[in-house]
Amino acid sequence: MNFLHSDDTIIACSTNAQSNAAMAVIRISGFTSLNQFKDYFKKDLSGPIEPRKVYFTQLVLQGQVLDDICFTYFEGPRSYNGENILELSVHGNTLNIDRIIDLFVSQASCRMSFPGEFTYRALRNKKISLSQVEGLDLFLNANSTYALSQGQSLLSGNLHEIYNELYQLFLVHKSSLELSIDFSDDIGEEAARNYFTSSFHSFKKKFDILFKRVQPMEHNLLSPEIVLTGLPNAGKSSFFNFILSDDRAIVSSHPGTTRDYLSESIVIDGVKYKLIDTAGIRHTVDSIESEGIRRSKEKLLCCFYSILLINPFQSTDELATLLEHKFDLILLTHLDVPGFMEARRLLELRYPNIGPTGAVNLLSPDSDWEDHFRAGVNNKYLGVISLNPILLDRHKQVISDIYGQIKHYQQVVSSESDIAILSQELNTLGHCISELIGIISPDQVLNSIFSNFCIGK
Amino acid sequence: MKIFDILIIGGGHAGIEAAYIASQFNLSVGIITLPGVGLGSAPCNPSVGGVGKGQVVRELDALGGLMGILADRAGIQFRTLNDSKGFAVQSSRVQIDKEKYSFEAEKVISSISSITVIREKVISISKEECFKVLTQSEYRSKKLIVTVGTFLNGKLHTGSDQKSGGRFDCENSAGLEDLLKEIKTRPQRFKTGTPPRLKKSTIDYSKLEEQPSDPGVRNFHCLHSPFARHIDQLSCYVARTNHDTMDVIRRNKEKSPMFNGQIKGVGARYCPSIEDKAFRYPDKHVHHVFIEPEGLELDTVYPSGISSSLPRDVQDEYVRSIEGLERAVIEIYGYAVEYDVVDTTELSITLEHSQLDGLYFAGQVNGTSGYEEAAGQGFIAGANAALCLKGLPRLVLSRHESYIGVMIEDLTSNVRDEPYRLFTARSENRLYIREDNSLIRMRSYRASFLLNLPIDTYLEEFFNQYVVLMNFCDETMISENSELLKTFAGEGDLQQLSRRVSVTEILKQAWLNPVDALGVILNSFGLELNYDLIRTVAISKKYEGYIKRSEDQFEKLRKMDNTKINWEEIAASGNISFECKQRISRIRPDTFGQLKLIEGIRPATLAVVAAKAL
Repeated sequence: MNFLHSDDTIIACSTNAQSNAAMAVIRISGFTSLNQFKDYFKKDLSGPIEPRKVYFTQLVLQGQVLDDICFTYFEGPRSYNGENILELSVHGNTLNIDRIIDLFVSQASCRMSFPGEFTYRALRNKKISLSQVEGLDLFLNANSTYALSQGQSLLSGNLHEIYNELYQLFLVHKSSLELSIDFSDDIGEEAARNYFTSSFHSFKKKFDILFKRVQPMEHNLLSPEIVLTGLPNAGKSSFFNFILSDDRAIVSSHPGTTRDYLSESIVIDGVKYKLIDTAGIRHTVDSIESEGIRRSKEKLLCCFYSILLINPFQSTDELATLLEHKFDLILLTHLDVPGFMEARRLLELRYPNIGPTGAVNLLSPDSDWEDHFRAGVNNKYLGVISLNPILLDRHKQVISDIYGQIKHYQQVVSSESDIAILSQELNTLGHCISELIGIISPDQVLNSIFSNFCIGK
Repeated sequence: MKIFDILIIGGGHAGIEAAYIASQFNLSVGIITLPGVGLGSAPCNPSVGGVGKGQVVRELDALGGLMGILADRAGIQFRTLNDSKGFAVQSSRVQIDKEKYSFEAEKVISSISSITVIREKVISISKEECFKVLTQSEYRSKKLIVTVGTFLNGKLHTGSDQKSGGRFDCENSAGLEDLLKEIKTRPQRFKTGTPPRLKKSTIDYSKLEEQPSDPGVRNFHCLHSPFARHIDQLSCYVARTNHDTMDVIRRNKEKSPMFNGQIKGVGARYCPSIEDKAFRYPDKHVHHVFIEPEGLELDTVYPSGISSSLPRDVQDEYVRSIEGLERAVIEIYGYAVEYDVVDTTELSITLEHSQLDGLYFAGQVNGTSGYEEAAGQGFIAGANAALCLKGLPRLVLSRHESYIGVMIEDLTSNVRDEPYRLFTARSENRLYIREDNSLIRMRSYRASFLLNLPIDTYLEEFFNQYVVLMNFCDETMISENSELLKTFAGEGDLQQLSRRVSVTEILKQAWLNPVDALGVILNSFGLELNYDLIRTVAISKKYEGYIKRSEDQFEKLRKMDNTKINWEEIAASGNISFECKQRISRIRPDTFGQLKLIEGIRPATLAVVAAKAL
């Protein structure tokens, strides 16, 4: 990260610059005086410019007017990131945006900012805390109202407060151990032991509540995936197109048409999902197809909602293998083909554990099925959200690490009578916990945040 | 007028330790001490060692110090604290006969021809070319070590009686202030207290729990035979306070100088007076009182745990409410002492004052409590004064290798809010800083003195054997079928050793006492070695992996600790507590590590700073 210690004047478009819109906001941060931009503004910038007041003027280059704009000057440190910031509201044609940014980069020695650099400077100038940065990221990239509210909770420091409480309880437990080393004469062995046990109990209780919130770990709730699986020619791509109401996937009667997975966004009850059509699972010698199949299986393992489509007229050993996975929904296709009922019965006889299945005619799908599918997905989502899960990967990872450490520690407590070794193990646990509140290895945290996400206000 | 290389003011535990080490360098040393008080007297509890402190005494001993020798010779009851809690936290504590201790101190010091003991009152101190100390005569020296304990503006309190002085049986060392006026003291005075001394024959021991001396505790001094006892052994006893005891104290709150505002000094939270206990823990009535003999001949005992500055009649009443002490007669009443404390952040890591070259401070005057802490500082000051005169490199013990190092760094890097005592919890490297390996830890420091005394020869020999035996453990393989393993393992245990393993691996097994195991193994090879050596090696091997891990963690922390912070901004920022801000403004930390060392800084504050200090 080469921008960590940079004091360059940076510029970027803060709104969507990928497509045309009515207007766009360009931000410039880190300059020492407005005066250095005076050549490009019709308004005289050397005169008094009142901070936080909107001015209307024109951008000019060598006498030629580029755009009519409004600008606002935020004087540091009373700005978002503590630096002098100039905000330009310009017309939102992407070419116009590019041209204006180019002007400042080539003429006024500004540099295009790296993703997240504005916010990094806010952090560096102590305007916001690390958790707030993470919260901001979640807030800005939320795909559901739940993520939105957790982002807000981080921004306001609520979740951080819970982490702090956990750390405090840890410290109490840690001190109970120290107490029995340095002061057991003063308070007596029994009191020391009781204090040790009860303090661990309170710590563990608090942690267990937190740990429940990271248990839906196998899938990523920030971008939940719905995966369609089945043998070749089961009708996955037809179902995919039907849900999307679009001919997105190529459909043919030729098995193995879909060789790699396809993914498209769908919104169900205000939550954005990825719907993924995968390659049919079969034994194949085609290396591209078999790689596709491997990737399909991988998707299945970490998805949020899994659907198995079965053509009841087809029955291979691969189906038996597939059925070992627990699916959220199993649908039998080819309802329109004569003999479906018999085929279905045979299938159920062969796989008595298959559980309830639905049947759907993909040639003329009826919307009841679509509603059923959407309700199934949404119910699962609501069920998971009701556990108040923690969404950020870094936090989930650290909390899982703490869980592992606690288990290890408990095991050591039961087998080891050397209290100095216990204390050592407890230190390791302490390091894990302090990572949660960001005391330790902040470099790593920062690196992960600023290199993975594009964040900013 | 007499000229010395080094003059020491104060003949307490810091002073004699400084003199003893300095004299080993063939320098002329003078100790100026108050007339009528023996060297190395023990005005507070009659014991040496304890958790963390036992390690200090052994470190001193390995460095060629005096305390271990005196404690062994005057020891009347030996105990190992934390005996069942693992080797790293085991500490020795010795009850001493205080008369005998002082007698031995006098004997050792007077036998050294280069040390002169001057029993005169200091009138003034000044510095021109050299230090000039005026008593009824005049003395000069190149180096001056001040170890005046509680005598800087000391004031004694018993009830409403107040008199100046640092201790019950001697006068105040008035006039000590001349040069010392230039020395910055902490604005807040410290306070310490002692319990009333009871007449031994008036205690009903049948009602108390006996704690006999443990013959298995090793002497402190490495050249003493480990289990030899130099004088008769006595027991300590445990008594307990009760509802009535605490009631007496609570009823008399207004008469307590500590709670009625007469005493303004700060006492230590870890060494509370009985008044502190009564008012801070209103629901608790039972507190331990350890009845410790003060000597074989002395007719007084020291009831540890009930120090007080209450008026005499109240002391009589609460003492007699305790079971076993119903008829106890108080020989000397308890009192509190208030005194000034040097601002130790003005001292360098050698305890030399940063503005006044050649002037050192050591002991309780630096705001510590405890004889061991005082002796540790006395040694550091004395050794550094001597090394400096000899043109040798200074002595700085690393905090990762010794408790003395922990203490010196804590004292000089940081202002303390209360008297400083060593705990094992103050060390980040507790698994390594143990009693059993003190000789190994201190060897290279001692070697840097370039001396050639009997202890130097002993240390060198011990270390060479240590290296050989450590290698033996790594290189010697034991077959999984060997009869040897079966001799010290149960059925289930052996599954963990179902292959050819090195001796080191065997010693690391949690179910095994490594010291016994190594003894058995060496025996089977027909090797006979020094038991202390076997012990050090076995325990070192047991902890090896843990120590490595803790060093790795420490390395990570150190990186974080070196991160620069801006204390002014932190103190001005909105989201940390007022108390933390005050402490930060006072200490002005430059790095995250210094911030963390400030006492009373909350983790929430650290988190806020860590998140921002990037």
